[in-house]
Amino acid sequence: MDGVSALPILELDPAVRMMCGTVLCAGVLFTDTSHPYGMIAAGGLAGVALLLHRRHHLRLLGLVTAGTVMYLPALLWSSPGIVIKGLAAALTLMGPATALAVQETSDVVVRLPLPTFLRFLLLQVLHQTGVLGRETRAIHRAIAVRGGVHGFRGIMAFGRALPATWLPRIAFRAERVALAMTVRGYGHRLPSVAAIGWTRGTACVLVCSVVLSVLAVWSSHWRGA
Amino acid sequence: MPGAPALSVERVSMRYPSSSRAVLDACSLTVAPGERVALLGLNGSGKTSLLLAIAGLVPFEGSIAVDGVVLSRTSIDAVRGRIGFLFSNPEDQLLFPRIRDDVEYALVRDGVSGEDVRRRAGAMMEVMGIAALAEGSPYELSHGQKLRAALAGVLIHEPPLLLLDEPSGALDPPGRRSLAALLRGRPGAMLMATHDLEFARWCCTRFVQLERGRVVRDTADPEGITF
Repeated sequence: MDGVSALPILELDPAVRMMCGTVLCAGVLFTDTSHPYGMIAAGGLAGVALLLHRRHHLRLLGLVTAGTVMYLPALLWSSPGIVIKGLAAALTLMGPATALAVQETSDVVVRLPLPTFLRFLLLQVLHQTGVLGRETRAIHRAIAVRGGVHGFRGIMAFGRALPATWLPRIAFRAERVALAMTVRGYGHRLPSVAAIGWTRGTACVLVCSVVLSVLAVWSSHWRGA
Repeated sequence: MPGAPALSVERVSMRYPSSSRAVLDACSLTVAPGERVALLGLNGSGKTSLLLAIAGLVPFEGSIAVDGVVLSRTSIDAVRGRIGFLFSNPEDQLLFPRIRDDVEYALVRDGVSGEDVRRRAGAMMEVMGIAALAEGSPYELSHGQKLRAALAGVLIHEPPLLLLDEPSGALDPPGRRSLAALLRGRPGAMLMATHDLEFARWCCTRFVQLERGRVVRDTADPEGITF
């Protein structure tokens, strides 16, 4: 749709996007979901997260669903408040992760107020995650060519093959990268990144995230009191 | 160090803990400043292991000196500051999310001032033909471009000794030719592990053949070398 890309929520600076995600997630975690009003408030914050990262709805929902499947039996026996809080927290937390490219996430990591060595470590983890992501796609293609990956059984076969093919690759790659890091004396300077491009729109999105989170927490506790 | 060979390897032996066979067996080799030497041999002949030993990345017996500095625990940083290492998979050594940062890195590590870093990195990327990719990510590059980016990051601090591990692997013919021209035009010494004899002929003036971790031939004429 024309004009949609001009909306500030779609053109957010990666760092602001991450901040908004963190604020919304904190809002969900502090919201009291033991009663319907709190559940609505937490759900509302998750809805805001979906709106914020709406280019990536499917990826986000897929990730949350995949993360939820293994806990399905436990979820069935849990109270609705806990389930809604967990899902809303996952949505708000994973939102920025699904909306940011690896390079954008790296830019955010460099700006985080953490000890330098930790930022170096996170930066390298992210960088290698991108490489491994591409290798995973290559493995998928190779399996598809050699054995065929079709439908549910194919996906299961791919999933079963991953530990045997992917993990050894990670181990060998980690060793080679460690050698390169040693030779190059890695750890002297973080990459340069541009400062956050604050506009009225992006500032407004961040302020709204904070206000909505505070409102959600306040209303849930007020109603529950 | 003036007058010292760029590389001196004396009776270097090593074996990996998982193997009973010696990967390097009393291997000796000297490379003069500015000399370009091809280290030839089949897979498993010890080429990469020798390069790793020179960079102090694997334990060995014997003696290695780079630019007159004997490799030891105390001198390891000084030795690594004198070498540039291009790994067989350039992707492994591209450690930054932006190519410019990766190319600039060695200068920043050596304490070169910001303006100088920018200027020299820009010139190096221009020479390597990757200037247009400077702000991009290494993920978006082809193998040849990754190789050029990694090499730019290695060459930018003008190391007296350049170690290359199979640099021509997976390059197309024009890529091989342009890489060879680039390496020929570089002033420092070079030790290049390869089994690509044609590429070695283009780049090097001396040919050392390894077999089971031993130097079996050291010649300026590659004609008699067969695998």
